[in-house]
Amino acid sequence: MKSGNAASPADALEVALLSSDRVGARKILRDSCSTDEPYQCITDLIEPALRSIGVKWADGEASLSQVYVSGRICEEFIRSLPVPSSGIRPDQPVIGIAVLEDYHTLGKETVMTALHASGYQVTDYGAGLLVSDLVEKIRDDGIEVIFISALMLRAALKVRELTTSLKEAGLSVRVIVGGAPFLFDEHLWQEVDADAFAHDAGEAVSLVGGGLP
Amino acid sequence: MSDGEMTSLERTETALSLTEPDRLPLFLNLTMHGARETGLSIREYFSDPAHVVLGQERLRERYGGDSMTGFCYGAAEGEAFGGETIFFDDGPPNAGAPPVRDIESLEVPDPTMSPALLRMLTATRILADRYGDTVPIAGVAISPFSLPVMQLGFGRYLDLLLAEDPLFWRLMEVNREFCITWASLQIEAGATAIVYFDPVSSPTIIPPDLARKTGLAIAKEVIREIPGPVAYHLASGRALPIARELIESGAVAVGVSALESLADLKEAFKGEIAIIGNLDGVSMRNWSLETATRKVREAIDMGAPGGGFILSDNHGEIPWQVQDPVIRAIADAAHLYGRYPAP
Repeated sequence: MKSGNAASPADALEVALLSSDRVGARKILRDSCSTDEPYQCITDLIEPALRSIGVKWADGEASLSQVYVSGRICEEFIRSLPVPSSGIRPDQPVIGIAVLEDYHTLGKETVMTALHASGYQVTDYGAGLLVSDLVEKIRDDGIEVIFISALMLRAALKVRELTTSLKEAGLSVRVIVGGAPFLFDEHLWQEVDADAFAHDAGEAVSLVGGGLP
Repeated sequence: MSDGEMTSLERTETALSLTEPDRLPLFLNLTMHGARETGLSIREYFSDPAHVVLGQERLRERYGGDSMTGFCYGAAEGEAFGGETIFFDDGPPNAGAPPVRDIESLEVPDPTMSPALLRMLTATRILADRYGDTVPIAGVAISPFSLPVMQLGFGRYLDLLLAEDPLFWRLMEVNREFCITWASLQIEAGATAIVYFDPVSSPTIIPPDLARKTGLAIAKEVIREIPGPVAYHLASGRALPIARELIESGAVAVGVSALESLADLKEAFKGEIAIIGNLDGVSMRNWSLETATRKVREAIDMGAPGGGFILSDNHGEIPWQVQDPVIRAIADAAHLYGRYPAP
């Protein structure tokens, strides 16, 4: 299917992104977006397309590499726009993202890319972090929303230690988790006392504002 | 052994030949649990092949599973390429930061120069000498196509793959030779079969069209070169959209995911190759004994009729957090309800 056959710009963008058609996707974005209003472009096109691709991945109709590349293409477009230094979302919460005690980073990269593509600024704390180190960084940077990506069950269970430590430290932080163990066990995010679970990168973006899964 | 009861090896071979054995083979993929059996830390346990052999013996005695393995942890293959392994007290050893910087000058390492791989080889040899006549001894090799996740990191690897960079094929050449050598060494040491782990070829990770041009094509070549039977394992990844390619890969079985219906999987692979799976290891740690029994019965109902099915977890390794009572309940239910002829 060619992108031109799709019904709306958002649908056309989704089709182009799923086929990794970087040129086609950028053309749709350029043609449909006003550079003066990047936020509009994000809410009307990018977020719906990425959300739909994320749902397709969770349902087995798209692959993780398609989610990853789609976010990258949209992120590149957003970064190419002349945006004021305050960013597209000047009133956004202070956001961080990390992987605990593990070096599987694709999930983190995918979520971070989707957040960037939606105009959010994110502090990347990297991978292989100890809970105590992450708590310190969250405190120092005034983080309000922390995304934790996990591929291994053990790393997912470490989130419990994080949420407990944050409470003990008196830090009010929304903890949003995602990754394979949470997909296989839909109760796990509650077990580790996270505030929310994102099935996919698109959903992760929609949860920044406090939406429930 | 009672009259007419098959050995674990006969039972498994019968299932793989797509006919019904005396009862359903049960592969309990317990690696770290051997540390619990021997009272050692996971790091200590994997540091000596004698510990691994003892752990495997005790686990088989305790649960009566139909397989044994000298496999310790996947990050050992990353060690052969200069990577580090991070050990934990309560989970699988994990690959550290990706070690490969320069693909162009990358050479094929000799698996016998890697202490961790040598330990696995020794454990495999001892297990094969002691039990190889009656119990399948599983060897493990990570596919050339999936190993770069450890070598480069997932993001960098996907960028290389999706950009159709010539360095991708250079890396595949190196990994192909390494994989065939490593798998062959395990067969020589007495492994009955090789479990070929290739999650990146799953539609969960990359689109089927891309997998057909890359990972699945590579698998077909590599499996042909391995001097023993191969089970293709997608380590929890989906299989149905690439069922035809998995059937034609040369593998004798495929490890399938809890994300897909066992009934659909059985239908897709029926009369072609056996399936191994698909109990979900992540939720398993919280199963009640009743849930464990029910999950096993459901899997038997869908997978067992006609043979061609081995009951197992869906990832190829049962998590450390799964405790003895649940494992015992799975084993008991498999023994009780897995008798052939299936109802």
